[in-house]
Amino acid sequence: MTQLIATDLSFHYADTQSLFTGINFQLHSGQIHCILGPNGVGKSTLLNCLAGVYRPTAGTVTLNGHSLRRLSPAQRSRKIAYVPQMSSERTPVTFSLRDYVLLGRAPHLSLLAAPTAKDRSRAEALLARFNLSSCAQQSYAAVSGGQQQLASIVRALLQEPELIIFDEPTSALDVANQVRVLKLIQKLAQTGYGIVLTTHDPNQALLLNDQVSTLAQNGQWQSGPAAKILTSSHLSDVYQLPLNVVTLPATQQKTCIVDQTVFRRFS
Amino acid sequence: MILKKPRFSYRQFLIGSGLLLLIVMFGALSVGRYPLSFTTISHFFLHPLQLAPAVAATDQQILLELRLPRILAAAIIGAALAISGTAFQAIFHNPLVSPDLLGVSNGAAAGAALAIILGYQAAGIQISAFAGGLLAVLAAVSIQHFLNSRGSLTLVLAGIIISGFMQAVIGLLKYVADPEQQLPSITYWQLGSLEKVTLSNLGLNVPTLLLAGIVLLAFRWRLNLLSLNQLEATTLGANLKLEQGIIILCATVLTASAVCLSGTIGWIGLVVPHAARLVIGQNNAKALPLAGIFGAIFLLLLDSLARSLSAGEIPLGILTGFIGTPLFVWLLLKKRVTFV
Repeated sequence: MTQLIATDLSFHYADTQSLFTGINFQLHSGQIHCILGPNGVGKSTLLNCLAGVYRPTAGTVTLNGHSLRRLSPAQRSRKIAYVPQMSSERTPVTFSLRDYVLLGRAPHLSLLAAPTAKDRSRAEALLARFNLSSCAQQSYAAVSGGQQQLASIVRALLQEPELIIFDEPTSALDVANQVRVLKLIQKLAQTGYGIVLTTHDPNQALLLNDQVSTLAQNGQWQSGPAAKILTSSHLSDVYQLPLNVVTLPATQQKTCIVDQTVFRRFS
Repeated sequence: MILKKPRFSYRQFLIGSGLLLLIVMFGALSVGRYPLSFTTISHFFLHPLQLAPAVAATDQQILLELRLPRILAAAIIGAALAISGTAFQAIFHNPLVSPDLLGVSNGAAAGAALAIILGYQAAGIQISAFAGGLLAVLAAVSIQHFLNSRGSLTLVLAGIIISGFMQAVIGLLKYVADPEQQLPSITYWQLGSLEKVTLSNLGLNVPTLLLAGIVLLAFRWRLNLLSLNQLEATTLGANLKLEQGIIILCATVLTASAVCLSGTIGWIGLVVPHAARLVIGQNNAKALPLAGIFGAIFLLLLDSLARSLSAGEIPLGILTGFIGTPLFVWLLLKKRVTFV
């Protein structure tokens, strides 16, 4: 079983105060770990540390007992895939969807090699599985946000990783596509992938109902099962806003709402 | 943006362009102030060991000492500039980047101007130009290092700074140059020409050009990975420092070697990669080799024009500017029409 463990993780950018300190985190195969928190607290930075892209100011990140820093980028990316946030700041991808997903084979290829016929057939199979074959020839930039997100997931799966990190996977999607992607993430976890994702929506963490961590503005970090962490009082503390976690009578499903009275009073 | 399914496959494009290159090379051998017939050129190539008895001695001499080195140089330099332009545009995520981005061209021009003023001969000028080009890149990379930034934009800005500095150096050297002998020589060299290419100086530069070109061609698929942002490329296994370093070094060597042979020739490294991408799409694995062939054809055609348009030879830098500008505008318009 693959295990990603972060111990006493701290990070600060040059000449700035600490973004977070003393974070302990664990992820293993088959688990979904949601990270919640307001904007700017360092969720994406934390993901970068967990992916081995950023070197934490203090603390260690180990993958199956080996320090992540000691692994080469290729070794890391054969174990951990990263699905980036879809944002306008991202470098525009201009080549076709097919060429984009094929980049997922890069960790398995030597510096001067290109994807083989086997790599290509693997990519085609995954494109078909995710209903992307018909738009595979189209430019990545031209397809819908939902298709772009699916293509990023296909690329991640082509890496044949054990863990997948999602940075706000639903941030640019409509509700239907959000649900589709969340269901897909749950299915991936059920097939054995370890998943860590950041989200702004506590309801998504309630839907996925596995492990949850919160990172508050003051850098306070709290982890545990969803039922324990996703309470009205704790979420209100994290977001500095009165939030209610209520149980819907018809389905007994928990959901997080902003009370109308709070909304009216909000300046 | 819907990418049209090309009418021809990539392989067909590549073979077709390769054949076109051979035809243009053959045609370029016959063009010039002293035209040679295709029959003469065919005889020359079909009987190389007998040194073509059916070909007149003057024709042989023109072919061997003037046309052949020049045609080979045009093809190699055109390909080198286009390949390095494609590579730079990919790794700097910027379609407006060209090979002289890091100050290579101006650095090489400053090196050459210095050698001219010091009275060096052709080989000395070439070595000095090469050193100037490499020194410029080293300075740009050092600025990036001192600014403690790993971003490609900082390197681009550093390149612009060094380029500006090298232009000032060239200006100073032109100011102190002897106006009768040295100044025309520096100016002519700055405008670019293949007039002084010989088999021996071509032979000096071809090994480095070939080596750097082959490395970049081998890296062509990897360029797609490096064209992503830093986070995505790293999480897909790229060793950015190493891989970008190799590509910058090879693209710089290609440009500096090309500038050594011909002086500064602008536009090819900017325009030709766009033409290749327009034809074959944004995949660098396919665009890079095609850009190389297109670059070779483009410079061969321009050089043939330069040799035949007037009694005196027109500097290549002038022709590339006059033809490259409208061509670039046309390519941008075409891209908009086709891809939007």
